[in-house]
Amino acid sequence: MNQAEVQVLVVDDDVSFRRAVERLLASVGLSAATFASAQEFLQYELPAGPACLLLDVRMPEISGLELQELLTTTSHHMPIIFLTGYGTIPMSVRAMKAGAVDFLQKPCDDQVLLEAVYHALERAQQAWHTHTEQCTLHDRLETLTPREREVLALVVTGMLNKQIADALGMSEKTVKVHRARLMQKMQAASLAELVRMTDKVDH
Amino acid sequence: MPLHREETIPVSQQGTGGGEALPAVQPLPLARHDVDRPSLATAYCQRVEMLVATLSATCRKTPVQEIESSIAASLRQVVEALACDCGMLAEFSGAPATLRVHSWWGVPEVAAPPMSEASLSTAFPWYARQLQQGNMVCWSRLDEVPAEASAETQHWQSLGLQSLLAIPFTVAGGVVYMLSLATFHAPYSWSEALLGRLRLLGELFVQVLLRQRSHEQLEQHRQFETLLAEISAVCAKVPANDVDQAINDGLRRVVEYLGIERSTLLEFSADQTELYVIHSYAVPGIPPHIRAHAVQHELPWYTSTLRRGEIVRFRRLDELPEEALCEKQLGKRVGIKSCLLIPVAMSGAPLWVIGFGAFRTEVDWPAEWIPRLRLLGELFANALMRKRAEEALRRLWHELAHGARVAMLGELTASLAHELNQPLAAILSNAQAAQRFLARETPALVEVQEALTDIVADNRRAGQLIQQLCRLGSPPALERVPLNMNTLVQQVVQLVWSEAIEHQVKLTLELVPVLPVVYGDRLQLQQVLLNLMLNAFEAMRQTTDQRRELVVRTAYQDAAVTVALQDTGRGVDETTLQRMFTAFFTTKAKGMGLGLAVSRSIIAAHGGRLWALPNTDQGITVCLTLPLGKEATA
Repeated sequence: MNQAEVQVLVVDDDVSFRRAVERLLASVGLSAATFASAQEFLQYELPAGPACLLLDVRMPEISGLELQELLTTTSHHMPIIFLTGYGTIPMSVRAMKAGAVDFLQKPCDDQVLLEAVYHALERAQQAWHTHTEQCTLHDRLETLTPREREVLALVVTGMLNKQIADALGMSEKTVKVHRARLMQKMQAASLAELVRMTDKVDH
Repeated sequence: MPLHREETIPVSQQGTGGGEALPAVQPLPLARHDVDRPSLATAYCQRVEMLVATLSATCRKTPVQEIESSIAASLRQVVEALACDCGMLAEFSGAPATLRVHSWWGVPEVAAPPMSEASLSTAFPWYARQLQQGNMVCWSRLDEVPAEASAETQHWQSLGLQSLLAIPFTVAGGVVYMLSLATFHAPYSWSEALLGRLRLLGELFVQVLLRQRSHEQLEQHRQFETLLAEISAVCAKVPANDVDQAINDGLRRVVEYLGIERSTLLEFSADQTELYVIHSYAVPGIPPHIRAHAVQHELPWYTSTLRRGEIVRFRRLDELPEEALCEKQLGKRVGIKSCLLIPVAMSGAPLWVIGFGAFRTEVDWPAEWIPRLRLLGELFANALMRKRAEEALRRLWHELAHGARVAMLGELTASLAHELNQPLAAILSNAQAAQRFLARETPALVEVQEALTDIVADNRRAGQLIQQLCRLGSPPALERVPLNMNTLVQQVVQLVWSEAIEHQVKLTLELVPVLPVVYGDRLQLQQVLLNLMLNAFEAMRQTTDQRRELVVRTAYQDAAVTVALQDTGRGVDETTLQRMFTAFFTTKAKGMGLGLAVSRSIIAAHGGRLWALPNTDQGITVCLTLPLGKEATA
């Protein structure tokens, strides 16, 4: 994991706890951005790279759980680790259902906290990788002409050139040209790779 | 009677201006010459009659304060009118008979007798007996004195007495008055006619004396009633704290009034087995009873007598029955002469005793004193019971306040746990971060230092919080200390911060930068603020409105500090606004309805005020004021 690229975001209304967590993360080389409230966090431009969120449940005005809901609706899927002074089961169940990766009770041991952070960051990175790959493929797909897209759609179903030509009402030779062009545009070395790519995009 | 005689005038030489009627208000001129016996006797009789007439006309009108001087003047007129040498009006009573001279007048050659009380029976046993039996003593010359009065004869002879007339007047109550006339210069013949008139005169004197006496008694009663009324007024309105002092004062005043030496208030234990001294006053030189001292072992007979509701009363210690052995011994040891102990009943059973002791003179304890002194005991007992009731009530309120505070803390447990967790969580993370920085190949010492600084700060914060909690949970102990209400508000806000978040309340402080100190009990005032803030949260929890704001303001004006808590709760109607500060009134589903009542009593005890006003838009504002610089308010 390339740690320089990842970031931990901390939202907690207690200034000394924010400082302490930031320091703990720094001690293992993790960089953190801290916020005193949900409002402050929402005004912040979220990092482009993989990131996870350490979120206090009890905060004035907008609570941690409310922030989680807001993030879900804005389709920002960032792994969230909840922290609470006194956790109650209904609260953690609700949080986990909404996609929290962990629910930790303060004060919590550095091992527990850091493991949770690593775990969340790993997920974030995976998600980030998937996301970036999808973006790349999406960009490549964008370069295809409508005819090429039609051909691509049939190629990945395993149809032969002749069948495609029949289906699209074009010559087999023209199909071959389109096929070669789209393989090149999608940067696919083989049919198998092209299939995998389209699977990811559809996903 | 040490009378001396320098000049002797024979009886035959005595005389008057021949039966002329002289005004009785003026001394009659001595007429000691050339008057024959019968006419002289007639003249004397006439003069006495004159005096009787004048005296009976004036004696009823004579103001009481002039009786003394009027009698003295009349006595002089008698002596002068009859050409005697001295006259005396006296009272004697008791056995042995004691003589008290009311009035005396004598010619300049005769020395006055001692005016103090003197025992008559020692030197003049026969004389005293005669008078007490109501017999007149009358002799014109010394050899007329009967043989049995040998002691008297000797005394009279040595005094130079030549003749004596003593007429006793017995009145109700065994008191005997006596009018006596004597001559030193010569024998004197006391005619029957003169004796009859002198008896008349004597009776007039006695009437006047009795009138004076009854007036004195009346006056004494009036003073006693005044004293009781004053003590009663004091006992009825004295603040609970000053009851003890008022009782001591009352006991002192009664001692001074009665002219005795000690008064004591005692109380029976609830099961009536023990008798304790509550208050005691004694004049200097006499030992007072020791406070809280139980006397039932030293004074068993008194205790059992009083327990039965009976009075203990004696003039002399030897009047006590044989069973009162301990009492007699103790009485002898401390030198008590007379004693009166009155049980004071409350709802049937004697619970108190008021006691009086005389050490210097014997006291009769007249029966009419007893109901008054008992009343005094009742006044003291009532005041003491009122004081105890007030103390019990205050204690109850304290306990209630403490209970309410502890209950409030119980409600806050979750929030407080959270509040405490914050610094603990920070401390743990900082400490572990520091360990990691130290464990590096090149320890990051700057980071470690920073972490340690933060750890210390968080530790302090947690410590302060715990201290606050311990204080709030500790039993009530009233103290008056200078307080800054801003600080107090901030401390309480620290406690309820999490609770505010839980209730989704936006808590804002608008504190004036500079606030003068108020004197008060930190714990109790924190309790009030805590209660008011939690109430506001509760009121806003019940509102569906999204806006939940509590603004706490402090202000200072008109020599008072004000704290106002403005909420956006659902508000209250006029009735609730009136009743919300009374005990057991609540609009909460659970809750005793004591918080605001306790709060108001606390603020009132600080000399302040607690009230509520509806806001113009939404919710209510609860205000409290505390006066400045009231160090001593109870």
